[in-house]
Amino acid sequence: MNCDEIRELLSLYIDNKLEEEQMIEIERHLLVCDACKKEFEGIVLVINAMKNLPEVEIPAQFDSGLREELKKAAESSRKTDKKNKRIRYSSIAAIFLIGIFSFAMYNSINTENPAKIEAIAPSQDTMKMMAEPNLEDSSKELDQAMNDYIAQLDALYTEQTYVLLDWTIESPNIYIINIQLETTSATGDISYETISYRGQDGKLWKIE
Amino acid sequence: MAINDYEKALIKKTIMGDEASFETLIFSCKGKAYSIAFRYLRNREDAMDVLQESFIKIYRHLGKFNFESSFDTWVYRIVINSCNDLLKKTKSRPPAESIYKDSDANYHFEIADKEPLPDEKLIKKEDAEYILECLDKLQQEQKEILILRDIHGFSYEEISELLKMNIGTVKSRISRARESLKRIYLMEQM
Repeated sequence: MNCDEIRELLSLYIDNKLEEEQMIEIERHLLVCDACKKEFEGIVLVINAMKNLPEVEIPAQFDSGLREELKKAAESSRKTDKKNKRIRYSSIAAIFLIGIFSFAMYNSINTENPAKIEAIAPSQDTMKMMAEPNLEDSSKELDQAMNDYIAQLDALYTEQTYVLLDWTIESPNIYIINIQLETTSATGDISYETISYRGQDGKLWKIE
Repeated sequence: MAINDYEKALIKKTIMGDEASFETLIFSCKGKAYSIAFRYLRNREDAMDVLQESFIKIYRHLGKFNFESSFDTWVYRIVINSCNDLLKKTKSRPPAESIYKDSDANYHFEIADKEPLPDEKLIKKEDAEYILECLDKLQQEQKEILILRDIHGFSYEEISELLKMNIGTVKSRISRARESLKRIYLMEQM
């Protein structure tokens, strides 16, 4: 290696990040080359100056300030959870009304094949849920097909949070489901995206 | 770096709403996180603000932690990004706050006599404040990597993870940054 090549590798040499052969070659070179030795010593000098900087102590008042902010964040998080549950419940309730209405309309105009519609008709339990709202258990009251679609969404978004905005039944076995997906970047920044899915025959397709 | 069971348990308890578990969780990394923020921003108030904001962000989104890196690395990465965001917002060079300033805001290495003493230059160069002034003259990306490598002692692999860059880039950036700093420090021609 010539002097330029040696100087390129001095930083890695100092950090012992080179192959053994290169380490030996540089070590020998520094014994005989004053110019490279001077370069080497200059880099060591600044590294030592940085390493010798005094420790910075975290100010004593930091903990109390953080504790205060954590309390606020925890309180706000609890309120958001309740609000999300309310949104989910009201969306579900509204959609069930549409479902009942669709079912009634469909039933009145097409009585030839009622068995097909049976699967999406709201159950008695659903009606009970709507009469006696229970925020904690509202999602359990969905019909089987919708429950299956939610299970698929849960499996799809294990690492992210989503809120079910609404869903509609376009025909007896086609569900249009809108969700709001929360994405958190590595820096903790949150963004929201509304995504629509089409559920048919037990399968979900993203609507682009 | 794998996350240990104790940290996992603390994370779970925090997610369940236990704020005290979060304070235990960050106990071992908050000092270093503050030190990083202070070296980036060179200002106590800004460093405290950024650190607090980062920890609240982490607390709120702890459920998003994917356990792929160590918890500490995740914390440091968020703190570094928050510092860089603040620096971009302010755009101007952060006001330097010396820990060596006395009540009259004079640096200890400064001397009353305007005639330079023979070893004044040497005294100045040996002073910690001087190396910090030199670091401030580097490009931000060079300063950043030296804060992590030479002031805080992170390994090349850890820096690669913190700054999301490959090892080759880490190596060459450290090398170039040290060379630039040496030139500024020794007042060599660029």
